[in-house]
Amino acid sequence: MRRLGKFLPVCLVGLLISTMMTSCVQPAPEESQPEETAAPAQLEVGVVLDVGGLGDESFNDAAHAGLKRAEEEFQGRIVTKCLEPSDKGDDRKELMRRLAEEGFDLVFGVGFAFTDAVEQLSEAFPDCHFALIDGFVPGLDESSNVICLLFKEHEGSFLVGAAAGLITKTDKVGFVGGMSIPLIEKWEAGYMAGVYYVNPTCEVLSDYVGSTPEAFSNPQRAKELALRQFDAGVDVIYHAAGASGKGVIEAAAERKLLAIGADSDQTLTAEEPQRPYILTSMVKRVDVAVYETIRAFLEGQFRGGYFVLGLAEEGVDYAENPWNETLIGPIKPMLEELKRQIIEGKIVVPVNKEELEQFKASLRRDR
Amino acid sequence: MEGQWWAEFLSAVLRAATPLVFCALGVLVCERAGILNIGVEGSMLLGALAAVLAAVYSGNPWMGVVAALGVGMLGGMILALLTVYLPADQVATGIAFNLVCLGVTSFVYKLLVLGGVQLMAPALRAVRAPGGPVSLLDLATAVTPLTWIALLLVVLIWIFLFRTGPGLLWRSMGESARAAHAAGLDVHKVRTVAAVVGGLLSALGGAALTLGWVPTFTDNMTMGRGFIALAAVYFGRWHPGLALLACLLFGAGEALAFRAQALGAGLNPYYYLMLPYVVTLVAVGATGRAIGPRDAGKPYPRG
Repeated sequence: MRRLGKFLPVCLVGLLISTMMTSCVQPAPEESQPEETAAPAQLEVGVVLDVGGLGDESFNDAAHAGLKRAEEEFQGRIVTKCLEPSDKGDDRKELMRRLAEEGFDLVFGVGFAFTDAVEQLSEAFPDCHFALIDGFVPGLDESSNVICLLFKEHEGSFLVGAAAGLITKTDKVGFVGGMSIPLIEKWEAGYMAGVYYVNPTCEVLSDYVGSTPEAFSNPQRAKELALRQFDAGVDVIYHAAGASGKGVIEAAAERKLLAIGADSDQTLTAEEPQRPYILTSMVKRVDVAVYETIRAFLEGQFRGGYFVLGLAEEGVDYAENPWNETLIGPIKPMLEELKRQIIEGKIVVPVNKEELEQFKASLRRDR
Repeated sequence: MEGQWWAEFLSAVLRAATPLVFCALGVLVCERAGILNIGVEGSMLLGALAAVLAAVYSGNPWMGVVAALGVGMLGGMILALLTVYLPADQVATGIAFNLVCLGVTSFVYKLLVLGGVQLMAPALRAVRAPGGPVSLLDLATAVTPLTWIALLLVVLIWIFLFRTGPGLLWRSMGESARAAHAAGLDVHKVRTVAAVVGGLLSALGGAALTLGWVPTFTDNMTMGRGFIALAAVYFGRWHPGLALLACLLFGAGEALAFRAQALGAGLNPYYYLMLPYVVTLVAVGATGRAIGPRDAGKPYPRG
């Protein structure tokens, strides 16, 4: 019933909204011919966001912030356009194609869900350049017109996991993921490894909101999962659930326990009374990745292939702010030490369940 | 421990069911007066956005509830104008209304986001905020005031519809508008009131979804809950009490989906996530043929 009832309105409204959004929110750039990519006079940059859209206070907002920053800093040299897919994201490929057809020089696909679209469109539009965030297109090299911007989320997750393992009083911490896909399991594995590294007796409860991309925009269900974990004795929950994560933060504020944010420093975007209940956030600098890619492009330095941002590249980190000073302060030396060891390669953070088991086994041997 | 599990489970059921109950009542009072309230999903979205906005700007969640009531009334009036006075086809109008509401709420939301407005509103909290319920006795304090209002409304609407004279007249509009008209009743007036009350209750469902659960707004956040409420009314045979049971059943399906994982059994989690839909299917299948108010959905021509 739920699916069926939703289907019709969604199809029609997707069209409606996308046209509304594109015509009203951003002034449409004037038609222009595709320029030589080496040093274009005015670069046309398009960004297609993922499900959840602007206002998720997380992933999409970070990408948008990177675009805005580039727009401000390179005023007059770039024209930007930011599009949003319908709420199921069915039209993400169409939106991308539209930008490519309009002769945009650089088009961002924000999220793993754009992988297929980028793979196909990059062949159909060899003059257009594509940047894919979080997605992996195999077989790229420097001459490709595709760059995959990837993050070592597991490294950042390891640090917030360590923070959770150190802070917990009940020796039970939680994880709420969005959609159960390898990308999010990477967060989970890194987090569990971090918890285990500092606190081997600590139990980790883990739940996923769902199995479709909508799982990233369902805060109600995320809150229910978080409440259930809190009821089971958990006192810190890390979310990797995009806009759904607001439900986890709300649950923590309600129970006066702790949540760990994701993607951007969510303390800063939370409501004032909620701030004390956000231990920290796993900051993923999507904004930096977007900004740097645009900058490189403007300077004629665009390289196809893969760009992986980890702790060393400051692509991921844990967040510090005036509200979590007292919580993070005492454990900060420990976290910084772990960060150093990861950067130096002394700790290799697992990216999936199998590696996590090996990681735990090797730790047990060493102890 | 057992008691605690049940208390937690039931409070989760009530949280999930509260928005559905408001919407189901909104559908029910309309259909009893002969109007199909397909626009329930749209009204719910309008209410959700209005509630969040008003709560953010005033800092008081109850102002959010008042704002939701306001826009709900407005939406109801528009629907009444279209379906009672024109009168346009009620199904088509309802669907169109839902589409417009989805577009309008998403648009306003994006404008606000681009304007840098934080949309985390103060929530309506349960009396017993820190810590979940530990026994069944705590249940009363572990749910938000909106849940109590919803339950109270179920009783009040049942009394009105089935135990009072005006309620009997109200239902007669749904059974046979012509007969009601012949008996000297103003069909259009009563149906207008019904549409407004329906919009108001549906919007209150939106407020419960946001202020009573997670006080923020996202695109199409109702996710078909209005249609589930519609199903609950059919399943509940247009009776407030049975519709309440249906809402609780759907809420239980949702709450159980999370808990089943913790209970063990080691099945693939996808099976548990299927649970709410399976519950809905089985429930609808088990009810068999349901016959609603005879004149529901039939426009009554003026003059």
